[in-house]
Order: sequence, then structure tokens, then C-alpha cells
Amino acid sequence: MSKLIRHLARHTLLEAREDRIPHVVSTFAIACITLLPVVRHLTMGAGSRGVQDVGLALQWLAVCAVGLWLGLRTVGLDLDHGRAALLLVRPISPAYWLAGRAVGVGVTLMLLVVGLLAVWLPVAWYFGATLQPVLLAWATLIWLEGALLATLAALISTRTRPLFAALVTLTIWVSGHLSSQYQAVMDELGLGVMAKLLYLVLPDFQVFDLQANVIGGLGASPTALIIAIGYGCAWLVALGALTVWSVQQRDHA
Amino acid sequence: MTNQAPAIELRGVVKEYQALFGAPQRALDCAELVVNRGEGVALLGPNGAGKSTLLWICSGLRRATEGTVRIWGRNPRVASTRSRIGLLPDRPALYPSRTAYEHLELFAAAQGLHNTEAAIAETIGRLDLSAVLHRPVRQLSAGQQKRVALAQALLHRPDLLLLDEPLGALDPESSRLVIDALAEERARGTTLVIATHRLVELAGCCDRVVQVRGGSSQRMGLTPQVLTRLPVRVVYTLPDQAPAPSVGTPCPAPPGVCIRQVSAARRETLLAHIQKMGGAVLHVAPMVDLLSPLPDNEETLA
Repeated sequence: MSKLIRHLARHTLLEAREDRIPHVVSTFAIACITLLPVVRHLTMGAGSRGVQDVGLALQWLAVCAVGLWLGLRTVGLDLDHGRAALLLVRPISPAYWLAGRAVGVGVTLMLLVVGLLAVWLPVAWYFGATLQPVLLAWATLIWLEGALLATLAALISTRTRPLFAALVTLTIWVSGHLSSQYQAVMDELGLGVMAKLLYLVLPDFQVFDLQANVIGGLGASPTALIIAIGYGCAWLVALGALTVWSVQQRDHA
Repeated sequence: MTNQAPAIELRGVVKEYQALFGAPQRALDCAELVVNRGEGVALLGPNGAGKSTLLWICSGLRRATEGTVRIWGRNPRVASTRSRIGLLPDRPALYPSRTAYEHLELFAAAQGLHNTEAAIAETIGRLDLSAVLHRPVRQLSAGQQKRVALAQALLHRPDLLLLDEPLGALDPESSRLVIDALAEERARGTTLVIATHRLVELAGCCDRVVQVRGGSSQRMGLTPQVLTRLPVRVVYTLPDQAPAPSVGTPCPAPPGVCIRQVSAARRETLLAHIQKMGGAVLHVAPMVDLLSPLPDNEETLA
């Protein structure tokens, strides 16, 4: 079965190339060349902070957008177009199909993060930013966030059409980034318990946010990093298991 | 008992699709079907009659809402049962950017085949795919894509082939290749269940015909008997002064040629009239898609 997983992972990677994902890196490079000098000009008093803020945010958004697309593409569209059925009619568990896809998505996202960083490092150096090891921790966490988003999109797309799955995934993702603000509002309304419950039910994407640490040169506590990675991995496993269950339960066409 | 069990046994199968709003849609309503091992069965019926749903339920990829589904006496969702089934869907669901070879490699891995190269080489030879083997599927014609999809169904030499419109989108030459491949499978002892509108071409692969209409199945009889009972469309010419035949229904035709549709019972009368008037019969085509004029269901024939 490892052969099947390898084949599927390779398929996913090759499809990513067809989906113009390398173009994302090129677009980012062009954005760095054209946009960042303007940002530096507008944020003169802030040193390289403004440039770093925009550059890191662009990379983060690119990884999340590609993660969302890959989740929908590899599972939702396969189910929707009937391609998954031709595999699942074979004597394999859906877990193998999803594992192959997951490996492919993981590797694709990793290559994307590495590609974006390769463009970013000389740009950041040119604009006078201090490069610190925390950048690697930040890159790991945006990879994890992209993978989590892909898995969430995959799970939701097993139960609905890809477009609606994209909307639901985006809503959960945005809510997951506003969890602390949401908690404060709910506390004011006296509904703090409900907010905590929702926090448990929905993933909290804020734990993956190290951008302020990178820009401020603050570094990251190893404990916080391990907790964030553990939290992300636990969610990945839980969502992956739910996706397998959901595919097993549904009809195919 | 499992060893003697029929290849397919469907008893009182109901399939309902849940609608988000409104009542569930019933695609199959108490469908019954028994297919013996090594038998070839054609499923006929209009679009939306439930033929594809029936095939998908047999493949184990869809669950029946009610009723019993047994493949060789076992649950079709069990892996050991599925490993012996080959499925060809109506739409060739392939990855547009991947080549035919990559598809076959992937499906061979999913099937757990050990001798992948030999299995692929044999299948592409049977379906004459060698010329397009390394081209992305998006560059292939609809007919070539259909043959690639059929290749994945035949790759592991299944004991049961469930085929949904195997001749759809195929030109006569490709149809011949597919029919020959299916005939080979029949000769090997494979059970075939074919949902089709092209019974005449596939008659050699099917022992009998089952009609699916309104979600339920009716046995129509052995294939030769069904073929003789099919209405026909006759293309003929008549001298200018000759009176038009009184049997059958005239159909639109190009100048100089007449086309008339007639039931099987009146076919000879029409042909005799054309001959008597000095006309010439150019073509007689059985009308498989016109199921309504078929005689009443004759249970004893099946």
C-alpha cells in the first residue's frame, strides 16, 4: 500500500504544478520587487518593520490560500467528479487514498514555504531586516496552518460541494484567528462558557501566529512552539480521522 | 453456500437520495436482479430509470436504502469482494493532467497488483492504447478517454464487470475493440452487467436483457428474443407514384428517401409493401431506445 500512497503523493505534486502553484512563488517575488519599496517609503519611521509585516503576511496568505485550494482539489473535487470512486471501488480503505493525498499536500506546501522563504530571505536582507532563527519556527507554523486548512477543507468537502466547503472553511479560519477577540466579546455578554466550548470545538488558528515575534525580533519560547505544533498535529490527526470516517459513510458517484 | 451463490443478487432494493428540501428522490423502487456467474446481462431503460444507480449499488460504492444486495453471496462493501469487481462509470472520471499510463499505474497499485508492467501492457494491447499511452488525458478524445477508463476496469482481470454505457462516445472502430474485449472477458467466464442503449452491438456479450424503468427492474427475456421484438426504423425508397405504406409512423427524412418506424409485429408487412411497390430497403435499424413499444413483460422468457 505504500506504493499507492507514493503514487497518490506524486499525483498531488504534479497536479500542484499544473495548478500553477509555482506561479504563486513568482507572483510573490514580483510583489516583493514592486510593492515593498513603496511600503518602505510609506513606513519610513518604522525601519524594516513595515516591509517585514507586509512580506510575511503575503507569504502567510499565500500558504493558507494554497492549502485551502489543495484540500478542495485533492478530496472535494475528486469526490465531486467521481475520480475517487474509481480508487475506492478497489480493495483499499479510504484511509490509504487520503493518506496519499495528505502526503502530497504536505510536501507541496513544504516546497511552497521553502520557495517563498528563498525569495524572502534576500529581500529581507536587502531591506535591512535582522534574520533570526525564529523565522524558521514561523515558517513551520504557517506550513502547519496551511496543512490544517487543507485538512479542514477536505473534511467539509466530503459532505458538501467544493464551493460551499470553501466558504465554510474560510469562515472557520477567520473565526479561528479572532478567537481572543471573540472570547472578550462573549465574556462581556456573559457567555464566556459558550466561547470556551466553541474554542474547543473549532481550531484556534491564533496559536500559529508568530509574525509579531519575527518582526519584533523576540524569538519564540520552545515550550510555546512545542504546544503549538502539538496542538496543530492533534487537530490534523482528528480532522484526518473524521475525513476517513466521512468518506466511508458517504455514497460515491 | 457462498460458492454456489449467484454473482449478483438484489432483492427488494430501494434507493432514495435525500434532498436538502422536500421529499427524498426514489431512484430504485423494489428492484430485483439475479445474475448468475459467467452470465452477461444488458440493462436497458430510458435515462434516469435507475440503471446507473443499480450498477453503483452492485459495486458497493452506494448503499441501498432498503433491501438486500449480495455479490457472490457476500456484502459488496467487503474488500475481498471489491477486489474482484471492475467498474466502468458512464463518465470517464480521470485526472486531466495525468497520462493514461500513470492512471493505470495508480489503479494497479490500488488493486495491489504485483506484475504491474505486464498487466498494463496486456490491457493497452487489447484496447489499442499504445499510441496515446503517454499523453495527458486532457489531450485525448472522448472515445480514447472512455477506452482508458475501460482499461482501468479490465486491468486486474475482474470476475464481475459492471459497465455503464461502455460504447458511449466511441466511433465504430473503437466500439469494435471494446466489444471484442468484452467478448473475450465473457469467454473467460467473467460476469458482465452492461447498462446500455446500444443493445444490438453488444448482443454478443449479453445472454439476456433486463429492463429498468421507473426504478424497478423487469425481466425482458433472452437477448435474441428481445432483438426480434424490438421496433425498427426502416430506411427505404419508393417509386414516385407508389402509395405510402399504411403501417408504421413516418419519420423526418432527406429528399428521395423515406424513413418509417414500425413495430416488430408489423415489420414484415412494411417490408413486403416496399417490395411490392418496386421500392428498395436501404437499412433496417432496431430501435433499442424505444422501449415503450416492447411487448408486455414476459416473465417466462427470462
